[in-house]
Amino acid sequence: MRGQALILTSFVISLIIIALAFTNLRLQVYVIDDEEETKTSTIFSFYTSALSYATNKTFHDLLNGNIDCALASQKATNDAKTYWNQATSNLKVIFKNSSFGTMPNLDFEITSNCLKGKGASFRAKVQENNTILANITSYVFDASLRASNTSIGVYYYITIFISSVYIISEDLKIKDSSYNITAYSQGSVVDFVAQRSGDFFTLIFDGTYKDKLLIEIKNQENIVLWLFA
Amino acid sequence: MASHRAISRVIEALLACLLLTMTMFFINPYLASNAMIRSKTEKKDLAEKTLAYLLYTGILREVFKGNYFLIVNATEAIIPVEYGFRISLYNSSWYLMWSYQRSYFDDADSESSYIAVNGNSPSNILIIVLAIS
Repeated sequence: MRGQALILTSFVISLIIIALAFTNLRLQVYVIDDEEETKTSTIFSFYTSALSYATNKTFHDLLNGNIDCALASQKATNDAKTYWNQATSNLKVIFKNSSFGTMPNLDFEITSNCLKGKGASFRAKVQENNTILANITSYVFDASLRASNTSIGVYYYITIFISSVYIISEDLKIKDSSYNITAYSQGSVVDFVAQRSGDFFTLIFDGTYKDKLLIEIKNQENIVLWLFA
Repeated sequence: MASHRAISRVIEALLACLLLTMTMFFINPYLASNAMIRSKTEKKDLAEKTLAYLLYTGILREVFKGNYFLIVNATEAIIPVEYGFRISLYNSSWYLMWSYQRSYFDDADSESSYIAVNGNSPSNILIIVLAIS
């Protein structure tokens, strides 16, 4: 009788060991199917591409005088939305029934207040269900004509604030740290001197360019921010 | 009589041992996969994090300029030498456009992750697959 109990106990222990082994097998399947992190990265890649495409295209039209400032914001926003919708549709074709092919609906908002000099601002915002994914802003903090201490002449000093923040997750926020700034006046590139202090940039132009400048700021994702000064 | 009982106990004990041994033998591959799960998760996690880093630093977008050396250099620097890796670039039709791998990359013992990047037009989608062994 004692021996039978020993065999029965061994049988139960065997069943428990087998059950534990299959629990581990299920865990393995779960890990292989998990692609959430790279999906989040792909969403970032696609919406930054949408913003880059829309702002570059619109800035080009703005520079060539094909569009006025009031319409530029609307056009850039629509272009970004169209790009996102088309790109995610293409992604669905590539990844077919995979969850990787299903991208969320995002809201794009690209706005410029069209002011010149102090108070001029630009903002590009991407949201998913009222959660901000990207917030790219720039505004003219100060703009003034100043006489030079060392030579005869008047210089136009513009101080601008630039910030590009991407919120990938609660733990991960990315902030661009370098910008490429180009200034145009009546379609031609204008020389200037730049000084940086954190997120503030002071640009010094010849005084004759006051109220005639269109400033192009390119961030690390190749998104164009524009300001009038 | 007592000797018969003793022999029965020994036989029953041997049967119990046999049963447990057979069970251990049967689940051996799954115990091995338990160790493999950790290893696979580790490689997959490393692949995902490497791809994300390359994307967020702008290095991955260099594929659109054909600047593959920057990606190779960055990946070589990020992934520890004890791992083999292969990084491959596919177009939207899954046509292989470019690939680079460490000489000791083992295809059979690898885990991969992928990411999609977009270029100047919505249809210009490239898929980058990073496999680590």
